Amino acid sequence: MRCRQAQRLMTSSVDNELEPRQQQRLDRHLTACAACRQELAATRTMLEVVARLPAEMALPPRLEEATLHRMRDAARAERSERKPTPWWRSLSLPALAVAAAAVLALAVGLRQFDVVATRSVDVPDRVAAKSSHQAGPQHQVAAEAPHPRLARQEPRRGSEPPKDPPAELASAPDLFMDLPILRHMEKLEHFEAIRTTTLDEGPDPADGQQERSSG
Amino acid sequence: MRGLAAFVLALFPLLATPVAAQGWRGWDQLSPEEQRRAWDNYQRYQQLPQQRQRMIEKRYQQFQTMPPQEQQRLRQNYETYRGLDPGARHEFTEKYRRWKSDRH
Repeated sequence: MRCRQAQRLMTSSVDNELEPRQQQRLDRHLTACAACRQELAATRTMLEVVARLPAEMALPPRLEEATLHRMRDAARAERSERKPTPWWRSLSLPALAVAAAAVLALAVGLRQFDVVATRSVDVPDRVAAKSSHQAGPQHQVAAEAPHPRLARQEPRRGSEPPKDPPAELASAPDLFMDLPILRHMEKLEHFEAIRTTTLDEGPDPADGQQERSSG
Repeated sequence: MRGLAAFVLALFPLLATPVAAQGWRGWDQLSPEEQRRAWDNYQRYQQLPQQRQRMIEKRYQQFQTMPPQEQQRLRQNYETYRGLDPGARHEFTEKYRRWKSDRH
């Protein structure tokens, strides 16, 4: 397995969506590839730092917009087949770490001095849990719990929907209403079978791996 | 983005089936709270890698063809899953890995 392929699998691995064979291949690659291990470790460290930040934090709207803009551009560039390597591959890990630390420090500093806008991010789980009981029986799926990586990329969750939604959203709103179910569909289809699975003390094929969140 | 647009176009024949027609609602028919939820999830979806987006699109097609009772069962299971405390969720995840491993 090459590094590029390993990185494509990492997101699925975090969500426990990989087939065991794929997971084993990824693990084997990580065992042999120091660069990918290092990247994984750096990501994990960053997520830990982010997790320790206050739950509610507002960023200056301009900084937020600019960051999202750049991320979308970068994602578009990454998706383009003409570009052999993603943009961030050209940055060294220390540079990324310094940039992340600078952004975090800026955000915390601004908050302390109360310069940032007072608008705060919703606590969507509580709101959604409450609203899911108020919604009709057809669509009681709450907004998806924030994936750590997505929470980092999407600080503006809870923003008001536009009056004129994008065509994809307007054409298939059900897809997005049911997104949490679709993401966890295999678990939900076999929910009872999984719940009744016993965890014996025998050797787990996943032994030695880092714990992965359920997504 | 183009992939999703093509996918939505490809869905039109499916949407014409009675099963889909029963449950499908347009954007304007959603309540403000539902619109907000769909909008949040839409933004989240946009951040997913293309591979994951394609997988979700396939699952959406699969979900749409399920009988209403099965869809309801999945919704209920999701509510249960969502309500698990962190310890129970961790245990469930471990069981899921074990279950999946045994299955293959």
